[in-house]
Amino acid sequence: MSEPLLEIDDLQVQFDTEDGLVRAVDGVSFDVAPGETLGIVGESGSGKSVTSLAIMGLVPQPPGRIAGGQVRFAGRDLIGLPQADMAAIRGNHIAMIFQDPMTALNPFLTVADQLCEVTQRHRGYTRRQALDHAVDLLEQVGIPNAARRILDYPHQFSGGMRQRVMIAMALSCQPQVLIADEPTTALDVTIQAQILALMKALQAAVGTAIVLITHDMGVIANSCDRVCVMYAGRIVEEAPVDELFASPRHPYTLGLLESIPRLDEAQAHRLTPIEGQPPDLMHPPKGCAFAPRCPFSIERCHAEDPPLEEHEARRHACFVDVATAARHPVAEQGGHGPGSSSPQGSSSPEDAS
Amino acid sequence: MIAFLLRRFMWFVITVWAVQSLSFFLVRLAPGGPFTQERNVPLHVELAQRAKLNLDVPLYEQYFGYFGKLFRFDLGISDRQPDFTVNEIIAAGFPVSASLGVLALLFAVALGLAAGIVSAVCRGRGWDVSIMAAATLGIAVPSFVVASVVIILFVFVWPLFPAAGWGEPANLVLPAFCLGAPYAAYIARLSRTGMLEVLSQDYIRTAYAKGLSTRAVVLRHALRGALLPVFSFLGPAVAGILTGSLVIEKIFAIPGLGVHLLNAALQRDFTLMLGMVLVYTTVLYSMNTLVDLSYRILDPRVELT
Repeated sequence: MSEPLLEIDDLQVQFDTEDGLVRAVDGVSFDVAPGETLGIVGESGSGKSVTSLAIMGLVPQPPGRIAGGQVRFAGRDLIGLPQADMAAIRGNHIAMIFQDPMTALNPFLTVADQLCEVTQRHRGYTRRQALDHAVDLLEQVGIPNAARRILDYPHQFSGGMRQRVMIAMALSCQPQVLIADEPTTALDVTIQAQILALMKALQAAVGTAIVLITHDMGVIANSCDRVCVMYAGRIVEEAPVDELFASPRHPYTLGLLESIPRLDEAQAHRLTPIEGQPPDLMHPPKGCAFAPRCPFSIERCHAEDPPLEEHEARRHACFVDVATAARHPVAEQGGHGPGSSSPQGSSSPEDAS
Repeated sequence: MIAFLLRRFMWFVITVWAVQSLSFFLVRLAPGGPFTQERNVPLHVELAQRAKLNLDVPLYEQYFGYFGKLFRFDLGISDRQPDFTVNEIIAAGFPVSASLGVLALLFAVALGLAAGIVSAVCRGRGWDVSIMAAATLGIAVPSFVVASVVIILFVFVWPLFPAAGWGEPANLVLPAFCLGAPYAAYIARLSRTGMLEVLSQDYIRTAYAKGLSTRAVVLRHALRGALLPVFSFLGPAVAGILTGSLVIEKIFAIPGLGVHLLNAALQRDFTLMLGMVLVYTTVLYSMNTLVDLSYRILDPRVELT
């Protein structure tokens, strides 16, 4: 693997709320190599979107705060960079696609206005040059009649077409990194596949590294080289995509995989949901954040936080070997709060052996 | 667009007819009339006057007579100032009131918008707090109090402007300020709220993600959306400035329409009163149409109907 292009190192993002401090991202580290596709998967509230916003320097401050860590792009730490320097990188070297194309485009400006300003800003194009470039881009992302449609307003496009416009906008300056935050979540299933295929094709053409954030394991399987699984603001497992699907090492990853239907299984079986709710980040449980919902949890899980350890080019944070350990039923969660960590640990102490 | 304007014009004619008819009967229903005075006029004089003003014929004849002339843009002779037609009185006063009103409105929009935007962008910081405090004060303090303070400050303490009168551009400054100040304050609050609302939208985040500066994001991406609530307030604002100018014109001795409206109502000058109502109806109606048109220009999703 070549030198990483983007290195996230022990990133911590916190939000001050009326009820207290929320550690939305709590010590996340990962690398992105040039041209690769890294998936970040997790439930809502696992911190995956906040991580991406932190990379872009777009965490709303206040209430948000980058409490620690580094985001190094091409060796330079982006955290604490002056606004003007950061703005020169955004949209130029690191671009982003957002989840909902219905709200992410400005309804008051034409598509031409919104596309042209990127190259006018970063490449000093004249309006004429920018317009030609923008029409090319729209053709590349598959918008028919691009030269005419570019003068339309976003509300005159369908959801899928708008997401294509977003992609064209993000790729305007051929960025080295493209962060796609749930780019297909708001779209019809048929359109989802088209958009993913389009991103892949453009990635091959431009050589952009993609950080694909999603909660959809199917999207991950289709498009990513490597996957980080996030839970409660941390990475709990990281692996090449084939290995992750073949042999998940964290109980949460296993839970995610068991909760989706698979076509390649000879015998259909009932899907297994992950019991319980994600932890309250205001009062995270002591020990492993997943332990209260984990069918493999042992006593140690409720007392100590398992570190994210590296084995054979993979990382995972768990004391138990899910391939061999026995499962036990997950006790009903007795509500959140600091005191909720102890009772489940005693349910099956024999697993500790 | 043309269909829209035609439709609006048709409704304008209907509106004028309704408002004029209502006013026509209401002013006649009110106790008293143009000849109610402390000193009784000899009967033959009053009869002659009535005949001259066409007040001696049955009500329906007066009504049709009035509308017949209205169609020819003839508003008739003032009941209390028989030497002048209502057209002449309006022609003399309207440009005065209009220039004062337009200046006050421009001042209110310019100052209000600038203050509101700065306030929203600096939300929660010193500028925001002081601007909003000033705006609350501006809304709460009535214009005649503002006028007194301004006259003390800029006429007596620091003699920059004349105290009253008409004819010089300098005469316009203080009255326009006093007339516009509460509206500037209101517009500041509206545009601040509008701007904050827009700045929290997803497409603003997209704009930042493209690497645009805060300036470009605010002026290019956010301003239009923030203008919408301000523009919808302009209709009522014009109504307020029209009626508000009555007080200000009195304080600064400005020969505008305000004094005529007041006198027409107090002295039961039927024709002048109807003429004033017509002026106000027209101004308000045109303003509301302009506001609707401005929506279309600001927001491409709006369809004119």
